[in-house]
Amino acid sequence: MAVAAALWLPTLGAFACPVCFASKNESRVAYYVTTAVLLTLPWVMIAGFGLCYRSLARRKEDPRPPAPNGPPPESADSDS
Amino acid sequence: MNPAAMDSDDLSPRRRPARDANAVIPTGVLAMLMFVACEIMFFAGLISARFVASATQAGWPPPGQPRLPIGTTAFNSLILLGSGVALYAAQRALSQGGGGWRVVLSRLRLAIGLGGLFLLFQGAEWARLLHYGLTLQSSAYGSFFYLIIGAHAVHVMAALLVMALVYRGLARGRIPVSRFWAAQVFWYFVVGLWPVLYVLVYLV
Repeated sequence: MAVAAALWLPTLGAFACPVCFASKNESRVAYYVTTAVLLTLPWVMIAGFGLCYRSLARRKEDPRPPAPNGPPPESADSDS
Repeated sequence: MNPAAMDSDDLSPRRRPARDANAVIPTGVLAMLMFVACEIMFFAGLISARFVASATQAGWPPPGQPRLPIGTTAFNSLILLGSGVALYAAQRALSQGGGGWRVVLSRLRLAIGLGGLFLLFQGAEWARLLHYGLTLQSSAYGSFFYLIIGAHAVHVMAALLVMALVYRGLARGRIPVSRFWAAQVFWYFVVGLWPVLYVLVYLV
């Protein structure tokens, strides 16, 4: 407990952090926005690649999906 | 260039088959996608640094620095976008088989030519800006402009080289079509990135 407190308390005095104590509000907003973008972008790319790969894999398995409201495909052993 | 390959209108049998023909995504395309993902992060880092730097300045662009040429660069952007359209048309001709190799190669030539024209315009624009006093050392504005737009120009050069190699390979019938797709991914990245850079560097 004492060790945890000793590790925690000095961080309270870290006033040199440029993000939290930037002189201008615009700077702080820029730090936050760019950090959020850089953290999100890899996950967006990975998710996009995953969705694209799944779509391509499905298309490769079944190249011609049936039309949702189209006529049923004709077969050689149909009654008509 | 092999005239026999050029004269052929047949889109598939002469081409060397890819070893990974049954893969969902060919290996070369997958590698290019991973490379492009890294490059997207690289440019995102540069753009982020530019925004943080501009937020700490009193004014952006700084006073005394020349303004960037928005109109001529917009025209140049259209040239690069036209190059992307030409490459898409080449891919359509390749996948649908309309017109044969002559059409594919002519559209590929057009895409490469428009990409080269874009680079020439960029070079002329840079020469003008240097003449007006916007240099790497003049301000953070100039540094970020040349760093970001220069990095893109280097990518355009590399993509043009790749496209030229793919063109030669396809014309001689020496490479599988999947190489064309990999080059296409790179070129689409270069073309698709430019409007983003134009808005974020020139307009914002």
